[in-house]
Amino acid sequence: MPKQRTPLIALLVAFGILAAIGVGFAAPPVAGLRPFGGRSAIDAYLRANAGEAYEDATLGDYRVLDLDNDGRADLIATVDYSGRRFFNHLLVLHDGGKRLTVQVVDAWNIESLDGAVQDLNGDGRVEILLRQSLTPYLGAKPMAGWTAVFRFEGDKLVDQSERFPQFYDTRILAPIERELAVPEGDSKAPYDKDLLTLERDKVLRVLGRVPAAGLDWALSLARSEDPVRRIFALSVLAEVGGSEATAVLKALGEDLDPQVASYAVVAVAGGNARRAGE
Amino acid sequence: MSHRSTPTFVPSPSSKSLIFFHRRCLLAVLIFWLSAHAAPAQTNIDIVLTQTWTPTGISVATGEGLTIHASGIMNWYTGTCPSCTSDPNGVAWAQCATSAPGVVAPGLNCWSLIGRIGGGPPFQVGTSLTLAASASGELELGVNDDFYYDNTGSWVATVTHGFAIASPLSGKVVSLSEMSYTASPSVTFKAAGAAGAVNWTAALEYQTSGKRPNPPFHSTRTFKTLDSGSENQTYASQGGQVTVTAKSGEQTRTTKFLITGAPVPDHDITERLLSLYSQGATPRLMTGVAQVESTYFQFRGRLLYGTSALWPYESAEDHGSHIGLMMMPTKENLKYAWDWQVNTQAGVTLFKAKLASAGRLMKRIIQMHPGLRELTSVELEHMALVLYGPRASADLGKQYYAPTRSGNGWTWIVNNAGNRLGVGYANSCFQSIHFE
Repeated sequence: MPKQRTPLIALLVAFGILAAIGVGFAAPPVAGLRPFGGRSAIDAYLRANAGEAYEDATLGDYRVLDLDNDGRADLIATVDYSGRRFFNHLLVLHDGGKRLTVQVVDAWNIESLDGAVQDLNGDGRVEILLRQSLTPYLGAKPMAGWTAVFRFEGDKLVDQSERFPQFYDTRILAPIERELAVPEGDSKAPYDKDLLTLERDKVLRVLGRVPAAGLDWALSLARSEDPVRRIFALSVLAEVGGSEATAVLKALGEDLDPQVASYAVVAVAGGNARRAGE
Repeated sequence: MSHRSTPTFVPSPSSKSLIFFHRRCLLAVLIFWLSAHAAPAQTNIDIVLTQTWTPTGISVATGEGLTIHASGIMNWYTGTCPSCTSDPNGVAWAQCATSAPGVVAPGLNCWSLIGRIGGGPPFQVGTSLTLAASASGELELGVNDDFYYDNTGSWVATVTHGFAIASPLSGKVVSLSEMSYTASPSVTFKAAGAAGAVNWTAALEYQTSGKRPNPPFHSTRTFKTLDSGSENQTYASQGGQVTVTAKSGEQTRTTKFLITGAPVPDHDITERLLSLYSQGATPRLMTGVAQVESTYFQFRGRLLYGTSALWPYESAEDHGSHIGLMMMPTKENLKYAWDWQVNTQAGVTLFKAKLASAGRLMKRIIQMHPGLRELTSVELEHMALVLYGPRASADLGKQYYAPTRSGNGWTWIVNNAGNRLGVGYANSCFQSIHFE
């Protein structure tokens, strides 16, 4: 978005917010700062400046903050494009001084940004924690997710999860392992342990500790009588890849369950398309 | 049997001297205040398990409210069968009619707590009962048995009489079984032991198991009854827990009951979805959407408000951000949770709006790719499904179809690379269509 747009800082100055808070934006992040005027001002600002990225969109939660410590206020906002309050995208409006850039980051079900903006490594710059889906949406049925760590690099938010092993060890993996250690019968819901296992294995893959984490388990899940578990399996198989995984994915494309078959087919096709693109 | 306590206030004003006149006035005021605020009389009764009836010493008048709570365990076959025990609910008549045909009240639960007033016909008490006395006389409580000598253990009953809510009973469950599964049967509100007007408040509350929305939906209705009169109320397009408060003079009673869902037949759902989208290119498409979103359930069995019943079907991932047949956003409308017709209407209306959006996006893509043909109406439905689903995007590169080079021109391809999960959602909706 190279077009010159109204800087967010100008909007805030117009509302007298800088005077009101007396905070310089060169200071460490001002996460949680809410501009005077609140949601309606943010909504108007997005309509004026986010272009197509805010068409047919509903505003969820938002934060005004300095993503890159350049002294200018940036904006992140969760948006829904479905009309059903699926806040599955994060709009990022970065004020680079001479131009405003608009970025849309995929996420999953972020109704609130509470706790999403943190400085995980204490370097004075914010990281954004965004929930991501791991398995396809199955309506009311459960789906797995994981938390990715994004950070502003260059001119956009970039997934930098692999750079934060301590965060994953202490705040993700340790609690998951504790939950998984609870005997099977004590589990609250039938899929709870599956979802935790999927998330743990994803983190292990992201951190590069076990590149094929979950593959064996997914191969066994693919033979489950439960279509939900077969869909869990195909998500892992599609990501890990390899000849055995691909063969099982193709077989799942013929599954009698329409959702399993649909997602297996697009997983195979998506993989082919990606490889063709590469 | 023993009457443990029957606290009553007995005023004893002094009247010996005018000096005490002011004190007497104060006392009179105190007596009046206490009588106005008096709690209903409460009596604890040890049930004598080895005889049919236990007198309670409680005389009731016709129409007077009675609430009885009982607990304890009785072995009704002591010495022979250690496991033959029951609480005051006893054993259902259907399961004991052949083994204990000679019980004192055939048809009522065997080895259960029963009652009668003024020697009238026995009625079931169990562990909890509230009623308006149908006759006057002494209340007796008893054991519905045929052999009393082998009964051991202990049952204790607490009897409260005076002003009470006779209906609805605490814990009553009413389901939306009327008006095509959108309304409750008539719920009767009736007080017992009331003299004069009774002011009622029925406050309905609903929140999913994940506490959505927060604060909960609230809907309160108020009305009046007179003496032993009653009021009938119907609940339409709403449900949850209803807290009922009845106030007579200075006396207030509270109880709670539940309004739950009812199973909506698949056939009715299909007919509804067909009628809502009859002009669509794929008239049955909405059945596929409902199948993917909710497996065709508006309500499903789960525990809520302490009761396992049919409650609005919640999204599992976050315990209720979305709800019902088309998984509509819970916080937007209480009716999405409780009225399957409103839920389906909203879903189909939204989908039609997405069809219009799909048309606009198609035109924009065509403008950028000269020679690209228009999508067919069925292809536009695919595109609209991505926009309806959770992978909706404003990005032209994330729609169901994407343009690709074909010779010197352009053609459409399914956009597996750009929005794999969106494409998968749309395909699974089409493949999940109900054909019967």
